[in-house]
Amino acid sequence: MNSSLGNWFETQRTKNLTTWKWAFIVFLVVLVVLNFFIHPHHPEYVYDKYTGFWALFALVVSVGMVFMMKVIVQPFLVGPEEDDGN
Amino acid sequence: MEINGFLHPAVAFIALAMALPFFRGEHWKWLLLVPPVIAIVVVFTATMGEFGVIPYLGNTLILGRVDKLSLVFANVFAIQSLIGMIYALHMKDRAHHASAALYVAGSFGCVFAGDYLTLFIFWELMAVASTFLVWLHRTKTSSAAGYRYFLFHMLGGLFLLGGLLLRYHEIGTFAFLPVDPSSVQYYDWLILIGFCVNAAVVPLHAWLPDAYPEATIPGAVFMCAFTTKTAVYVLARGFSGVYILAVAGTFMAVYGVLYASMENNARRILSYHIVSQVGYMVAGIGIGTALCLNGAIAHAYAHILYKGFLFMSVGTILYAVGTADLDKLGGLVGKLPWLVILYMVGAVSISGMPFFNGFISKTMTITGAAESHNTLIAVGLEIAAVGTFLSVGIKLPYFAFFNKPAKTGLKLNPIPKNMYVAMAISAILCFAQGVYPQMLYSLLPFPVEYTPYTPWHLLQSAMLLAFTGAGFWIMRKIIVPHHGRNLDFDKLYRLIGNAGISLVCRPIAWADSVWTTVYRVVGLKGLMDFAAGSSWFDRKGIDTVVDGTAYTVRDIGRTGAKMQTGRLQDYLGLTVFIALCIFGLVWYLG
Repeated sequence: MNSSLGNWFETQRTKNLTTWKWAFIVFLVVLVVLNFFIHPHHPEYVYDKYTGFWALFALVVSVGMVFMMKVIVQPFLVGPEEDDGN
Repeated sequence: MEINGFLHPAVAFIALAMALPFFRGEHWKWLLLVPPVIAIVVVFTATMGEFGVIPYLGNTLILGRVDKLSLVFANVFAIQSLIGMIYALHMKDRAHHASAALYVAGSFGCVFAGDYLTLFIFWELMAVASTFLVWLHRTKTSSAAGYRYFLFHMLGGLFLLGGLLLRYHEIGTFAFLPVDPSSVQYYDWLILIGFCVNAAVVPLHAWLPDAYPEATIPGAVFMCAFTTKTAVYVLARGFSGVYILAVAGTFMAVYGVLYASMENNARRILSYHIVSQVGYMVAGIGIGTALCLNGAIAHAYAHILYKGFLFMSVGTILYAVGTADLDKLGGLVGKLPWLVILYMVGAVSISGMPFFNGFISKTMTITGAAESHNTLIAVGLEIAAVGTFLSVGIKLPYFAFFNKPAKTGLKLNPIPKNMYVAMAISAILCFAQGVYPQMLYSLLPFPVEYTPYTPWHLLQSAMLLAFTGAGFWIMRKIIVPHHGRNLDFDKLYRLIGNAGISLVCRPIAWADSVWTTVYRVVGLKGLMDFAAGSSWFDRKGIDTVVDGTAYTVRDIGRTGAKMQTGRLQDYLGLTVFIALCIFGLVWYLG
């Protein structure tokens, strides 16, 4: 059972990856479309009454966070692991 | 031991720790489950009130303050202690089990303490016992990290001790009561700093990502549940509404996810996410409205379950593969598929995905912040939510399980069944609370006026998580983990420590140098002159007198010996001579 489940996951990871990518893109589109019909009753922030605000927020924050920390900040902070050389 | 109708759960754990060295055979491990079961029975059957009241120094120490706030924390502590003990069942190291039991006992003692003195005693018990959970990993790095952990917690404990003693001096009581946020006194600030050390409030947090990744595998599972959440409890009990905590908590929430996004070690990623998730709780406590406090406490409850779960999952990877470094992992999905499924339950729980317990607690805190017009704080917590899913929900599983084929010839250490059982229990609880929030909400101290499952909340969460996934996909070649340790405030502590040592040492070295010169020029010369004088006196004075006396005695002795010839005629002649001398003297003087 462990092996068959593992094989199924391996298949999804390799052969069916394109299918999963398209399914994910469709899911993203569906969410934004739904946002045209579903809004907060009482917007908690100024901008969340606009369609796609949280989608854009998450995209910008995630991309910005990775860029800032991995590209800009980490080169200044990274050093050897404490157990390196043991 | 029963104290006026309330069996303190700490007693069962302390009894276990004391009995462990005497257990023989192989079946003693099942006794590890007895104290957690007792604790669960106690917290589900306890009645409200104060138990174990002891008069001391004109005050009263309260070992068992049982109310809604203490019970909700004790409830999850009891459940998590059972899960932790099940996870650790395969371990044969009794010292480890004893340390874990004492650590859990300490946390129960803190939660039920009605006064600062009792709190302090159990607080220190936790610090000492948890240090052993790091040291018992028995590596060079764990020894060093454990030592730093211990020092830092002793420092926090000293702040707490100083604060409670000064408070006693000022107001004459040890009672652990809420402070008035509008008039926080200097001793309250000291106590607050002590609490903030254990809550890992930035910049007092660096002990956490330093020590937790170095702890034993089950040790980290215990530690992630109790230390910071005990601190959250005492903050909620004593400092709700102190607004600086709202700012500090938001900073923690964002800071933790920023560091986690560039970390390589899976256990350190989870450690930074403790800082971040505790940030939600601290922020909720700082805002102090009923909704925010409920959110903070609910999040503490949910967090203990899913964070323990995540540490179990990553600990299982470490146990099976031998490393938790993401740059050395990959492709485990084919080898450990059930572990992947279990891990993902924990990952989506912490990320606040609908139908899992993080969703019903995290959104409550954020909504509470937004509704109380703390917009910046709410936005900060939303940024942290994105970062949480980015690191724990996507990055960690992607690089550990999915991104490439497993190494050829990779041999996995067989995983004990008890580890899977413990993770399965956590998974069930995370999901059950997610689909049936009342299970958690009914335990909260204030009436819950919050509905998590609205179409908008569901859509908002789905958009946040899905588009975070899109962001990850765009940046997947950049976010690749790299081997190395990122500088954090622990380096600053060491710099401050070294600067402190320099500040102390340099004046002392200067004074020592001056003293050496003075001693050489004045003291040593004086001593030499004194020695020369002493020598002269010895030769001329002492020696003359002593030697003269000796020579005189010797000469008298020799003369006496010569005179004692042994012949009678000599003695008679001498007698006549002395008698004539006496006669002549008497005649002359008379």
